[in-house]
Amino acid sequence: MIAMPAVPGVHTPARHVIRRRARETADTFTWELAPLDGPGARFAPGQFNMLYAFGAGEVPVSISGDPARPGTLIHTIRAVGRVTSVMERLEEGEQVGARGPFGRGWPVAEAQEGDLLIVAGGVGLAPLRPVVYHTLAHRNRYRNVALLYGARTPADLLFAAELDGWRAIIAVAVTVDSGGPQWRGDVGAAPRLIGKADFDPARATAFVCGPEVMMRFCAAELVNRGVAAERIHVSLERNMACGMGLCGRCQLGPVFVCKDGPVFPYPVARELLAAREL
Amino acid sequence: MAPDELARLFEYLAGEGYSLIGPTLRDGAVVFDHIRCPADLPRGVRALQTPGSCRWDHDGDSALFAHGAGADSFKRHVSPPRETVWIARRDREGALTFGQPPQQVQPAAYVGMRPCDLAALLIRDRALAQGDYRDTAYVARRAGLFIAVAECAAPAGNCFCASMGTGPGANRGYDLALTEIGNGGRRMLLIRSGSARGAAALDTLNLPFATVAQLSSARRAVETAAASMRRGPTPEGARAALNRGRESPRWRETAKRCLACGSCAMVCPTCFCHAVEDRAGLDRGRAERVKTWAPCFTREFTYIHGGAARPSVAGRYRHWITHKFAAWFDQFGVSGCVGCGRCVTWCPVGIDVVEEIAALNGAPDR
Repeated sequence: MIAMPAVPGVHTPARHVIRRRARETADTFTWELAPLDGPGARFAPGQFNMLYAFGAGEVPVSISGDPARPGTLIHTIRAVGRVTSVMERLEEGEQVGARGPFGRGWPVAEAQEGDLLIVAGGVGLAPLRPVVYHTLAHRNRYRNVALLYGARTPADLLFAAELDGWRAIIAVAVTVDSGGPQWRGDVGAAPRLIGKADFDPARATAFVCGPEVMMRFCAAELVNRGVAAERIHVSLERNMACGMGLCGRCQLGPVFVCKDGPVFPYPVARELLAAREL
Repeated sequence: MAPDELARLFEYLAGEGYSLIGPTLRDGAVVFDHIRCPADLPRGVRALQTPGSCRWDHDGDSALFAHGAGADSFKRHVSPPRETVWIARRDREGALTFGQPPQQVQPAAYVGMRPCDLAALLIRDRALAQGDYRDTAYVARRAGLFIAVAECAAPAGNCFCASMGTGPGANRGYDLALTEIGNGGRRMLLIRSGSARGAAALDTLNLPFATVAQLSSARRAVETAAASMRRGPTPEGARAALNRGRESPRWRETAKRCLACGSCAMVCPTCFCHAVEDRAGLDRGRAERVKTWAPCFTREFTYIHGGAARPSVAGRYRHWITHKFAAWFDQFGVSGCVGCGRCVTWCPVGIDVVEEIAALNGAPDR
């Protein structure tokens, strides 16, 4: 007889308790999870976990916390489906599961010594916040660092309370599609911020995360400004049931988004997204 | 050895603790399931297969392994169609625990596995047992396998393993290889070992050595089978055709026939994609995560908030065949097809992958 050993935290969820739950926007909230089985797993900016709500199911969610503090697992979740709606109703003190971290994240080391553009659309700032934290902690490793953030309305901005604090250390530019009477900032699509940012295209790296159409326009604008396509990285999203390349659901042409991504060099992503329904 | 002596191999394997699994006729169809003795093998059964159709006849011969590929295969035994992945429990205070199902794997011996299926098992290993992350349940079942492959002297109408280089002979991955020669009352089984476990089995069985004439007759049987088989694409040829044909108008034509039923993926011995479902008990204290075979032909397969990544049948068919014959190379270093012909036989509308790939090459096959 042969037993079937599974790795806890990889094949089966590791237990976590919701220590803090904060609302970000009308449909988005952030969990601060404390691991109950040993120290939290180290993660790289851009990696994700499969989060489990008891009886409801699992969803892939990128980690939005500080990579220097792996003891606390932070996830920012938008309630858009059945499982995430159940998650939205969970209270502080309730327990959930997490498997991971999975995937290849943002190549922060590759960007060192040059300018770094962090371009986010809507909830796409969540997977990029670990990059922001990383640059705040290691500011001297980079030349100019700019966060360019677009959202539909001011009410859809994530981490609004933190943005001002970041401004003291890196450049932060925010734009919204529609501002309303109280809004004094920029109005327009995220790519417009690229033209206003201070960077040297020859020495710049860009990390872009948001809706696919937003990433396409931003990448095109970056290329237009002289940033080499291979120094632009985007994060893709597909259906996932395992996170480990075993369920086959996230295939996009020859790649498994879960383990070959979710972050891809733009030339790779452009090729994969160019064909319809790949 | 004479076919009757196969009983000694069955006894030996059972004595070693293996549960025996092999081809057998059940309700008029050849399945790959638990068997007890050589009498359970589909003696004299031959498959008549054309695209979209399969019928089994007794042909009056006494061949044990001329039955062709059934819809069923080893896949069901190494990757069960429904499998509990974990069981979550929540106590009254809300504390969670995660456990594995109380399942133990009994080592199995596959007697009479087809060479194409053995090739499929080795391909499946690459996908599930050799990457950074592994399907631990598969690895455990796989590790316990004893494989007695039966070389194929009677390919069925949809078979094209010779083109894919996966049969009809077997050259690796087995513990024992059986080859049937002769006919009627003069039928003999030649048996050779391919591993230490296989050699130990042969030592115990203590069979007479095959004659040179018998060996050449066995080689001829396999060569004749290869020569008589229909031609399909080569693995590299199929890969090139699909990579070239990504935007071919053929996809929309095929989609008019394809029912998106997923039969091809279900019968394919290498298809491994799956779905998961979470089932909560009525007492609210227990929830099971169950993994089920899931063909890539449903909308749900790629559904993500807002829609499916492949809403059209053309997109889904293209994904299935392109993954199988092209992307598999990028992912696992080999083609995902072994030419067993199951997807052709069990397609309810008879879509033939060989014909589809030929059409992408601009050369209708027939």
